[in-house]
Order: sequence, then structure tokens, then C-alpha cells
Amino acid sequence: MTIVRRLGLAGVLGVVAISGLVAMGCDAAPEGEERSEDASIDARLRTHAIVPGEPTPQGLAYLEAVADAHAQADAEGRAERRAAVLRDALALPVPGGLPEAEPLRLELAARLCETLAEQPGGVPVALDLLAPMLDPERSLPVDRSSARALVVLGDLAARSGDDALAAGSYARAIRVMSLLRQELER
Amino acid sequence: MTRSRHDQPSRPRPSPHGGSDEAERARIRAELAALGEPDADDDDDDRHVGAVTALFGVAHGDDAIGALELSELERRRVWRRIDERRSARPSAPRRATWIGIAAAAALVLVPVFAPEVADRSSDPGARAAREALGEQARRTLGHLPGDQDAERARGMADDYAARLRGTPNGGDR
Repeated sequence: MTIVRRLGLAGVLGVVAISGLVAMGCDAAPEGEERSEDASIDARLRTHAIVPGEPTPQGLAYLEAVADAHAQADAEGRAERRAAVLRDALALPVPGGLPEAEPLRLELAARLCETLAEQPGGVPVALDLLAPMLDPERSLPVDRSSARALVVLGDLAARSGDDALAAGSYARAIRVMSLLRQELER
Repeated sequence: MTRSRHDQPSRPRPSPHGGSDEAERARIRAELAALGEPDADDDDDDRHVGAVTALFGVAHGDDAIGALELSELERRRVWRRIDERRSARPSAPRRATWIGIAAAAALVLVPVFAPEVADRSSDPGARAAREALGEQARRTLGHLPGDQDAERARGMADDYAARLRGTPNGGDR
């Protein structure tokens, strides 16, 4: 009360107004670098083509295990069980010399994150899982799976309020799809 | 406005209580001493009288000044009250300090108590642009040829198996 009396009504209103402005500033600036529009949108895209390796029995076993996991997940009605199956598949060790595993892992991760996002509190977990896999510093295969995973990442980021990550991910997905179309037209 | 009045040489006006100026001043000094207030020198007194006269002029119009008859002690008391009220208000630097403290508190407390504020207050234009970009990305992905998930994995496994069968070690499995 002493403060209110000392500042007077105009002073209190001024403080409230400035606090509000500062709160808005909090939103736009410091997280600023992560959150605000043009300054922090990272749409860098590094890509590589998938060059099939020499087939091996271990490679085939891995691909079949992933196919089985997807089929099992399709049969699961509960999101928790589906997520568990997909998580186990993602944890499967990848045999050496199997570049084909890269798009499959991206598909597994995208599907797992879609499933996690259906559950309460799942969006941050899904973001933690997918964002490092799609870091702009990392090269992504020119493949449908990259585009899909980036779209999923964009959707998760949008749901979490990270407009910059969302916009950057969507932009990168569109660029991957553009590269894919160019390849198809050759 | 008040400046011009301050600049005017103020002369002690005849007291409504009667008596000479010197007697009046002596009475004022005695009353001030009884109240425990310091005695005013002539300059201060003149300034107070000028200021109070100016204030009455503002409040009542210049015509009212002549009709007002306050003793100098009364004028001093009026002026002292004005001084007290004025000093009770925070100075500009003090107000700036309080505003700074409030701003700092907002910086700390808003993200703690309202993390969702960031989402609510983001620029609608940026949000609309992001949504349009997302819509375009999803639509393009939907039109992209090729399977995904189980169909894609099964197709890749079948192609891989065919390639494996065509290699010298393909029969090991």
C-alpha cells in the first residue's frame, strides 16, 4: 500500500503497462533468438543421396524387423503400445554398410513422434527425440522420409509454440520435396 | 506565471490583525518559536508570500487576491503544507527506480508463472505465415508418390532380398 500511495494511480498504471510491455518483450526477444521470426529461423538444408550398399543377410534381417515392427504397430489399438513397439524398432542396432536404414529410421522416428504427440505431455518428448535427428547441421537423405519427418517436427514445434522451429522445419521439408521432384523429373 | 510574481519585490502588507510591520514580525517569530519552527529570513518570507499569492491567484482569479487576507504566519503554514504534500510524492528518479524494479520482477516472474504467455502473444502475422507454410508442406507431402511405414519397409525388404539373392552370398540366409 505504501508503494501504491507513493507512486499514485498514474505511477501504478505506468508500472503495470511497462510490466506488460516487458512481458511481451520477453516473448519476442530473449528467447528472442530462438523464437522471433526472421532472426532465428534456421532453414539450412544439407542433403545427400542414398547409395545402396552391398546386400547382406544382416541388412535384410534389419529391414524385415522394421517392416514387422510397423505391421505390429498397425495392429496395436493403444497409442502407448504402438509407441513401445516403434521405440523398440528404433533402438534396433543398424548393421554396417546399410544406407537404406537411414530413411527407415527417419520414418520410424516420425511415426513414433506422431504417436507420442497423441498422448498427454507427449509433444515435448517427441520434440526432444526428433529435433536432434533433424538438426540443420546434419545432412539428410534426399528421400520422402526426410520430408515427412521435417513436417512432423514442424507440427510439433507449432504445437509447442516455437514458431521459428516450425517455420524452419516446414521450409526445409518443402526444399527436400523440391529436390525429390527434380530427381523424379530427370 | 509564478516566476513573474516571484520576481516582484514583495513588501510586507498591512496585517489584518493591526499593529506595525515590526510588531507583526515579532509576533510571527514568537509563534514560530512556540511551534518549534525555524525563523524565516526576509528572502524566504518574501518568496513564500509571493508563491502563496500566486497560488491563490491561480485558484481564485487575480481579482480574489486582494480580497484574501492571510497573516504571514497563515501563508507560511499554507506553503508548508504544500511543501509537505510535494515532498510526499516520489521524485522522478525514485519513480524510475520503482518502475525498474517492477520491470525486473516482470522479467523474472512472467516466464515462471506464465510460460504459455509466449505462445499467446506471438505475432499473429508470423503465426499465419507459419500456418500457411505448414499447410503447403503437408499438401505437397500428400501428393508425393511412394509408400510409407509398413508398406515402404516391406517393399524395401523385398527389393533388398531380391538383390541379396542375386549376389554370390545371397544363399547364406
